[in-house]
Amino acid sequence: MQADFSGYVSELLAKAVSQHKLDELVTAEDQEILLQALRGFGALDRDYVYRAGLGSSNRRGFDKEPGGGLTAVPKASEPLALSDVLKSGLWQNLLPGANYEFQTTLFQPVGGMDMIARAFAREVGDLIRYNAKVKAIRQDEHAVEVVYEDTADPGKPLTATADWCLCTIPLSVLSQIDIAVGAPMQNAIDAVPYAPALKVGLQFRRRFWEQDDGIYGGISYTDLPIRLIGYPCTGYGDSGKAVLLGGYTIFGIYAYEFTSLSPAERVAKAVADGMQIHPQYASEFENGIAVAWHRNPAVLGCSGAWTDAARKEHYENLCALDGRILLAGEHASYLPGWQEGALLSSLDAIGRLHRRVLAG
Amino acid sequence: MQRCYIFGLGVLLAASSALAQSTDARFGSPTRFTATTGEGIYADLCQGCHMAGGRGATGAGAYPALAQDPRLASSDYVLAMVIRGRKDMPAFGDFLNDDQVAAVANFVRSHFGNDFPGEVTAAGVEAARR
Repeated sequence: MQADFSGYVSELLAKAVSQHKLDELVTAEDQEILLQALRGFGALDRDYVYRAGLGSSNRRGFDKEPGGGLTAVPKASEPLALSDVLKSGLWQNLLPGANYEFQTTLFQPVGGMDMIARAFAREVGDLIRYNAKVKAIRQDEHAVEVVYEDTADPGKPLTATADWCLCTIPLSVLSQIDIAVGAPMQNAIDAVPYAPALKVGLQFRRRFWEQDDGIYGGISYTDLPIRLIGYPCTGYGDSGKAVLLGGYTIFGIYAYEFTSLSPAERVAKAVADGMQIHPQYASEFENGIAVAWHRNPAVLGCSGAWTDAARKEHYENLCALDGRILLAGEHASYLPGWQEGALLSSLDAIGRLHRRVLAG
Repeated sequence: MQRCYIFGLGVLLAASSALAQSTDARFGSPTRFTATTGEGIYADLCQGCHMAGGRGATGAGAYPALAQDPRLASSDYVLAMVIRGRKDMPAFGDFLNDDQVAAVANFVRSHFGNDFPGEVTAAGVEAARR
């Protein structure tokens, strides 16, 4: 797909250059360079055409691969037709890996992403009060008072007071809590709905994607409702059971529709979809779990779904210090849904709070 | 090993038949909900948060119960919520056409122990969007 898409685009652009359609936009000298670049980039032949041959096969694969000895001669493959490439829509899946967020080497904490949160909890220790459901956040010119209840013993209001409050409760929940802030911040809190998201983990008896298909890590993209299958990038070559990310959909219709299914139905759907890509699901699937973020009782959604208009109107008000209260979290960042957004928002908020405290 | 395989497939088959019993329209399109009845739209979309039977849910925050909800007496309120959303609830006006909004509004107002008069029409939805 990548080879054919790049090949045809390069061929078309090379034609436009050669037919002097771009003389006003590109100097003659740059046109020469551009043609050479396109020929290499698109694996075009000496006529600047993308067609079957060893050059294009070297990008897209061969009908018969080069080998050794008397059976070595390769056989070129035929590119797809341009119209088929475009109509398939599969070129859309060439894009995610090019995004800035995914370009750096990404590490994964052993044990999963929440190991990061657990490590913070370990360092902070007893300062954390668990099972405290916040009911109200009040403030005056001297202090902040939070009213909460112990979820293990509800119905008895407890209070905690402090000089300042950095509140990281997601807006999906905070918009239901009485918080003593002015209208600008309150309107901002109320302005952000939360995006749906669904992930499915599927356990298999063996790494059939490695053993049968030569797939080690990475992602298969699909327009089926599961949207993708993610392969583990650790433990390559293990002979035992392993888990696939059997579906991941965020935002959009399918995410809502998965959310409205029961947990067992979501797993069944992920298996049914995945089976169309990997028939081995039928014999190797063992069990699975699905998480739909709107069913997470602590978050009521995946992440804040800002629009450009909402950010313009509300974002600064959301992040401002209101008396003795300020907010942080992925919702108070330009990296929605990322732990990085949450961490950076905290650092920014604490920096401003520190300067405010020093100013007296 | 063999036991695990049979259990897994058993869960898969049971859940598949449950899937067949729910709406056929689910997963019909990536850009809009394709259920056409109020019941179908509720099953494909609304019950994700408001739960089966409109019973709502409570965690750190709450999804309101739609069952026996006096606020649904106002069809204007129901249309505003579905089309424009409010706070955590997203706006669904772009994902549902006028017929669908009317269907699901009429559904929630006449089910789950609700029985409010006044049918919402597609024309009424179109007016509410303005």
